[in-house]
Amino acid sequence: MSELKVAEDWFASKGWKSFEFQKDTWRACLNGESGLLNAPTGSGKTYALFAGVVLEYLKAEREGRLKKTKGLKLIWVTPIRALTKDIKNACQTFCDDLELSWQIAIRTGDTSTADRAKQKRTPPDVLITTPESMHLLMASKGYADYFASLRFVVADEWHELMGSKRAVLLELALSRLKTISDPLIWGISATIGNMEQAMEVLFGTDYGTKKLRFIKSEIKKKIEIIPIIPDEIEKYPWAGHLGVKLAESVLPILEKSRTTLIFTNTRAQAEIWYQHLLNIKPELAGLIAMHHGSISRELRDWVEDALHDGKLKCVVCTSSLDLGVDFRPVETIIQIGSPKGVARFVQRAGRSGHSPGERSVIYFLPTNALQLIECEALKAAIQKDDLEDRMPYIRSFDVLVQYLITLAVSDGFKPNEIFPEIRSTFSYESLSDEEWSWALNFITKGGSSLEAYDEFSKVEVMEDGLHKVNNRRMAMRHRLSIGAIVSDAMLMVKFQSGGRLGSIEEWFISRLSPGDTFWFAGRPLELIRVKEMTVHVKLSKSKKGAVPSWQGGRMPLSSMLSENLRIQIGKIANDQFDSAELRAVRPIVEAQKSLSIVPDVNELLIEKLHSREGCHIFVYPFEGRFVHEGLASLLAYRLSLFKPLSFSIALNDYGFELLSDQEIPIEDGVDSNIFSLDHLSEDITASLNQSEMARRRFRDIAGISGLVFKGFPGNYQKDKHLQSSSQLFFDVFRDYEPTNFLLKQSFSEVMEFQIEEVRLRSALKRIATQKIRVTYPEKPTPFCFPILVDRLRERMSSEKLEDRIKKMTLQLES
Amino acid sequence: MIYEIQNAKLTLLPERAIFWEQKGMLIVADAHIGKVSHFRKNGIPVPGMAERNNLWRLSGLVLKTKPKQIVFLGDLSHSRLNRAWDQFVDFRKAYPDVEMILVKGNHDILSDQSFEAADIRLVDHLNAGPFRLTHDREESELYNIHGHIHPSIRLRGKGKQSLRVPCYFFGKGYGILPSFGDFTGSYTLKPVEGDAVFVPGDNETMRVF
Repeated sequence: MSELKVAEDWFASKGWKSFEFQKDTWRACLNGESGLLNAPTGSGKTYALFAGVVLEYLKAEREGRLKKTKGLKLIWVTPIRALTKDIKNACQTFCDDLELSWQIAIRTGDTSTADRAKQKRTPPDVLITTPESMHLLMASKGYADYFASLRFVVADEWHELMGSKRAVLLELALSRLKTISDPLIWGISATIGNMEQAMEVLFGTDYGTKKLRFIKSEIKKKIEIIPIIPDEIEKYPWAGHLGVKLAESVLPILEKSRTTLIFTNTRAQAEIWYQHLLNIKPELAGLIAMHHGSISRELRDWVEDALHDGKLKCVVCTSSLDLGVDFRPVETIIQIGSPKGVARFVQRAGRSGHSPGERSVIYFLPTNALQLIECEALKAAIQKDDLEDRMPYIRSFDVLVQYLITLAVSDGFKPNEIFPEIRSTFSYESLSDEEWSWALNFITKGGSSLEAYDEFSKVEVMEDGLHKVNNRRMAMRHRLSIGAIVSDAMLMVKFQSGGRLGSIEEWFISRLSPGDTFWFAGRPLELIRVKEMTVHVKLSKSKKGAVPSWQGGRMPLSSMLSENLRIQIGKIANDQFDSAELRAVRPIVEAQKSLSIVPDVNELLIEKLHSREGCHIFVYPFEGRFVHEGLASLLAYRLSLFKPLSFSIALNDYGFELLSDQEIPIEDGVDSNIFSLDHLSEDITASLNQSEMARRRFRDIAGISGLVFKGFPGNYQKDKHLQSSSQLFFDVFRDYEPTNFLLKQSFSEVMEFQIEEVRLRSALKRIATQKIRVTYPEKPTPFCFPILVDRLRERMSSEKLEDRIKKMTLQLES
Repeated sequence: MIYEIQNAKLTLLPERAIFWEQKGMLIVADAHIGKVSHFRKNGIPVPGMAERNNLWRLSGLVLKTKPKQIVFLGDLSHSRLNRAWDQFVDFRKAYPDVEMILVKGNHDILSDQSFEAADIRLVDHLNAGPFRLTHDREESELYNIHGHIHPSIRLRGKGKQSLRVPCYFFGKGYGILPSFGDFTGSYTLKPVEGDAVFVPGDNETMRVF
């Protein structure tokens, strides 16, 4: 194996030592094997695979097995555009040192049309790209020739793709490539809960039939978790999402660390923290920046570059910096509030301390007192390697429809050739003949049309059975809508004097009038006017203004984190205050115990209390907000079978509340097994407004399947008569084509991802084994207080709310 | 549901049209005939049934109310000539005794001849009794009845349930019809004190505000 030595020598020339997992990967590649490499970011995973690809090529060359030396050899797929440059640099260095004249190119949504045309004429040897761009390539004529010499596909950050429909795009692309050039396939994934399944999804039906390698890197990064404990826990709020009260204790941390990333859960929170830090320490001006998904690409690039160069002391960010290139100057991470999941917390911690052997340091800043228990739960979960599963999407008809049209706009496809490929993917393994013919009908006849004179046209069936789009305008429209990420209607925010600041959701702006001030990208801005999808603003002198809230910030607590949280709650139930965090919350725990109880792991706590508003029931399953939404509706429905009652529902990640103006017969409910699993599906259907939930889900589905088209860029007028909303489609399908599989998909996505039926069932199973404890506290307990406050928040404006909370706290202390 | 306004008794039909019995006048706004076909022709698979149902409902209304005249408050057609329009012309010819008047709307881009060929009288507006019938709102001494907006209203129920439904909306000085056509979308209005809002149900129209 002389090729192996090439890589080892190269490592030695750099003064590095290769890891066992890298050598394993090289050997596997040389053996012509496919597989999955389980290695964290920053561990040398790029060289493990890129060197493997090169070695395999050199070996084939030496053995005279190369038919062609020209053409595309490797596609490196990454979910994150920002990573492409780093990957390219790493590959380029290796090639240069080996004097291998491979051309390495990047193709993403940012690549210019000229560069794309060039890549098309003379294919590079290595193409670094995204799943969407791969589909765009397959939407261009002669794509099969383009891929003919392909030897490898690497799916980088596979764990990241797995939980989204972008993974389905990649599965489909791979199924096509297997027929065209049968490349070796490698995934690179960080550790997730369902590692086995990650492989199954990547390889489809090859999993279990073909020999596949699983290589795990031995590197495990040490994470140090430091809770920020309020000095006077008694005065720290029992409820809250912001945590700015603890901002002062953040300053010394910033002081002693070279660069710090402060992670918040929502963009609004990031804006508020950024302003607040500047207010309490104006010297930070110029040294602090903000980074979130709505800020313009240019601004974000600037922040990232400044981070790289060590010019910033601190960046307040959201999940927008969860992934991406490493910033070496970052030494410390601060997480504000619950990270909602173990894996996300680990991921964020990993953004500090990059050099091998260095540990990551992450501070946990609780936004309310009880969150300290969550900190302890996170520590325990990380200790045990309790990481979340990534749920793969299966049977996504929207992506299937899009893919079929993609093939039809390039060279066309024959159903009998493509169907077996599609069925070889994990996502569509169970696709029935009937479902397949529905999909074909949908794109050729526009659904189950029986009309003789129907004018539907899209994909045409040629005489030889080839399915093809011949209309150029239609083909162009399709190419513009390829992808599985659907964004809200966004408006560009722009200074009147020029200069883009970012984009903002239409619904937020629609609530403002010209002259109003709002905070965006860390600046107070005055709205001048909204014109043609652009919001014109100027800097405002006023310091007060609305902070935009963005939708989607409401992630539920993951099952792994909630499981560990329940264990910690059980500990404090038994007075085991064995860590600084738990000791710190002790006064609050005592308050809870004096008013009610703290449930042990084998207990479910229900608190019942009365107020001027009526009768309140609080239930604490500690299962995350989605499951609570399902449980709350289910309980409300079943209780209303005892006597007609109307409820209002409130919830958070720890529990939920049912409120009624009449007495709630919870005792009767408990006696007659109200948490039973019997008739669960029927009761869910009867209790939850699935139709409304499905309607919201349908937005993405309509976008991906090409029902909703936003118009050609700069050509809004012409296609005005073709604009429509996903809501309308949902309604007409429901009324006139209830068998439509896209419609059905929206309902099954609701069950799977919204109601989290599987989790709901297992929560009920657990409750069935628990002892139910009903207590009757005289006033709100520390457990129920945050839920009460959240309900008020939804009903009232923020200023009034603060008054209300003050009043309530007063009531509690007296 | 009969709503009395300006001393006229208007029947607010659950089929999303107004019948003014005294005058034998059926008022229909925003039918958007041909919208579904236009989408389908451009490769967007809206169920074709939605189009046919518009005409069936319209025919049903004519049989039910036996009007002397039908006033379309604009956006009768959605786009260029297509098969759906031909079917509408067939419908029109089936009722030669009924006068049909179109107050032109922004979507009515068919040539005047196309409408005239179908024996449809074109007007900019129509004054009838205490009402001024238009497509979009106009300042007027008379009570303005119009379409264009496709009004809807959000109803909130128990818990977190809520529902957005098309509605008849009567405010101070103007009244708005819901859009007649399926697959036409809507715009949510918020009523204030003094407004009257009616929701067409499956079999009857209900007052909700």
